Amino acid sequence: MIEKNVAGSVAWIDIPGPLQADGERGIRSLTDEIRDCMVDDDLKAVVLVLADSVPETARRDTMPNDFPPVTLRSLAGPTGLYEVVAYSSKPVITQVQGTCQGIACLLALYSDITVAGDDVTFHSPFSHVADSNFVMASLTLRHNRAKWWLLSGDPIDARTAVRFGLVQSVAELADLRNRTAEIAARIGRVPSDALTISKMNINACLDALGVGQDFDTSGLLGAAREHPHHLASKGAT
Amino acid sequence: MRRFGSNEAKQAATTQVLCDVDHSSHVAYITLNRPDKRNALSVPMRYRMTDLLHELEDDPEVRVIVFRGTGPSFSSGAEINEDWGQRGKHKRFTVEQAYLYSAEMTWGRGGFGQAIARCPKVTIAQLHGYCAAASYFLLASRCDLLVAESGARIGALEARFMGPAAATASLHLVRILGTKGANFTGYTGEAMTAARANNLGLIQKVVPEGELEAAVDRLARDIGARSTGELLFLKARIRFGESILHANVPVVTGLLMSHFLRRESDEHDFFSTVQRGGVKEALMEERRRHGADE
Amino acid sequence: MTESKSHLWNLARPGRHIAAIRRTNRGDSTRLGLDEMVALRESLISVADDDDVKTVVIGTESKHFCSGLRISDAAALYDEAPGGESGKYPSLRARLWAHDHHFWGKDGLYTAIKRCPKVVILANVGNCYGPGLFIALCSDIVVSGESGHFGNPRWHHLGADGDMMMLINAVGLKRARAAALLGTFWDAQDARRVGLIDEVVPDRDAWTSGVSYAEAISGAVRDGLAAEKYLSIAADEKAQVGTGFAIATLMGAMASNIHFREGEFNLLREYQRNGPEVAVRKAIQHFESGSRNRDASDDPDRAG
Repeated sequence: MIEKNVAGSVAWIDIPGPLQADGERGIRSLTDEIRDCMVDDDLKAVVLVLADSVPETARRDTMPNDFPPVTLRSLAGPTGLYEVVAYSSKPVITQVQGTCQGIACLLALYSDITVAGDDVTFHSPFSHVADSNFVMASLTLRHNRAKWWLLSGDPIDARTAVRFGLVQSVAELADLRNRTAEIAARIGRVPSDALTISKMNINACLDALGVGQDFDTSGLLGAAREHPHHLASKGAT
Repeated sequence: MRRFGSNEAKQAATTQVLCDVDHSSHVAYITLNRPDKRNALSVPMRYRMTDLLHELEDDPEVRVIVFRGTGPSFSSGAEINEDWGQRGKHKRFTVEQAYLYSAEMTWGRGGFGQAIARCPKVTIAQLHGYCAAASYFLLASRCDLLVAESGARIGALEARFMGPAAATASLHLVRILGTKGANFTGYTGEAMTAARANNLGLIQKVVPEGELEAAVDRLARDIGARSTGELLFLKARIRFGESILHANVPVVTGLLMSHFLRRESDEHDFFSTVQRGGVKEALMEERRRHGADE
Repeated sequence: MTESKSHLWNLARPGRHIAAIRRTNRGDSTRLGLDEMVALRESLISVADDDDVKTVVIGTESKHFCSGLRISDAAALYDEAPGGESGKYPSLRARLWAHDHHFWGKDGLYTAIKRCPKVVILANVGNCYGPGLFIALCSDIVVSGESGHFGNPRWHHLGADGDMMMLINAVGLKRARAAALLGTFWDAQDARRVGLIDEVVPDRDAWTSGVSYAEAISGAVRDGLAAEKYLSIAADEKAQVGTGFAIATLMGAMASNIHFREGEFNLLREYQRNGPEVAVRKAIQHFESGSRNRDASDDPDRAG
């Protein structure tokens, strides 16, 4: 399903359909492909081209009947898709358009650079994807905006996404791939070791700020979600 | 459990903090009702908010809690110069008293701000007029969703003459406003306009004058229409994240230090003026000295 | 603090409670030298000891506050460090010492600003790059003239070898990522919009505006401002600023380990072969070629 091409020092991974279309095998295949790019000495960056209207579920028990099951480990585990992107050793650029939700939305949130078509709408993944990283959302959008996105159900459009700092560039659809290519080329001109220093710095900051802790613990909340009366307990009082 | 505050203030709190529940829409309203004092929050009023939150948490039909104020402003913050039981016991204010006030009655884990922050129900702040001082950094900024009228003004207005309240040093404000935004209002005491607060990320929605109540009502009902399980999960998600982000209590409880500020001969002793001539006179003296106009 | 005019910084007292420290910008370049950073740090320390001072305003007498670190100083950063002169390249311990000593450690300039017990206001005009950006991030309040331009061009050439934590806390995570990976610049209005600075005014009003904020803040009591500063220092630890500074020291030391591969622009080799000015011009040509980055220019001060 996924298609990888290399242009100069940048790998382009096109994902034309829903991320779960090939189930567990598809997710692992994508994860392995990204990981292989990270250890490829000739590559400096990875572009993930995400298609429109990716379905929004990730949990086995809420998966649409059309798709084979996907384990949470393959998505949210230490070697799963999310962390490979969030803690990548090389820059990851996501290109998105149209309805961006669920896993695709999370990959956009977790990646270094996001280039979006001007028709994009980002739909909060938090209701449907139990292991969505709220700390990352708070640090990216600022805390109250993240809360609004999570609670209101309002999608974030392209212009708002720029204002909030969720994406760094917006282009008309006809120009989207060119814009992404420009940004990828800009990164490609940076020395490899310099990019590594930048990524090391970023990843160390992410860990210090608690992004890793959120990944580690959010699975517990996903389990608690099955028993909402536990979540109704009072906090510190 | 011992509660602080004068008997008069304790009695008054029940009418100064009102609670109405609309079970059909799953929305509760906590209304600050002390318009003659710009909804200044006495200590008993803060306890009452905490008690009401606990009752509403136990009500399975309540999914959303709206905080609002009567009169020209949402709230001017904590009541100044209140006798909550600290006077007359010792020759001077003790560290123990200061810690008690700051930990239990304002910033600490047992305070009303934390009761709001850790509430498992969705909280909305409905802001009009001034949202100042403690009502900014302990009440509104602890709510999940903030909706403000375009003319609203928000900030740590008291900072310039009352000393620190940890409004710059509270990490939850840094996470909401960014470092600069939190610093600016904390040090200058300047109020943010609703537009600026929206631009920085504190207020998520600004509505035209006259449309605030309807807008909040609509938002509250929309959220209230969703399932309890989903909302409980999303709130738990937020609380988890806030714990990881350390966006709960300050490292050192704010307002602790402000009880021990020494005013030099060239500095205005705001509290002495308050005790002598009341808050209004103290504010006028500040204006005379520094030209502060808010 | 006594008023004085050195050849580096002009120290003055525009108000009883206000200390003013303005760069004199000797020479043609607006890059900041290590000697200026040391002098600024010393000025801040003397200000901290002055009980009458409540606020400090930092600025410049020229049209740019800071266009980056002086290039010759960047090359000589390790000369004084223990183990700095041995071998072809400075030792790792020398590099760690240098970044800690000059910038991020207990004796560094940025720590001096962060831990200054007075409220620090930066009144910027023009370029605010590299050390200028860090000074802006460390300051409590930043007002800028309309010509303000903020960024760290060095990161695009040599990697993010400085603190990123303050930037993340100020502007958000993905904007900080873009600054590191794409070499993003912000003009004054954008800088205010994203939360990097607080106010934008006409260039001619930048300094007086900074002093004006200082006057307003100086109305608060000494004890109050000092308490708030120290509470903020405690909060900085929760915000992982100390961790960010430690990371910056380590990354700064790593920058000299960069192995430039064939086809990659080797800025350090160009420094050695052709001198700093030529190296910088070539860097601009290489990194901006084919780019629609609106910041591309022939201004050598914009290369980092």
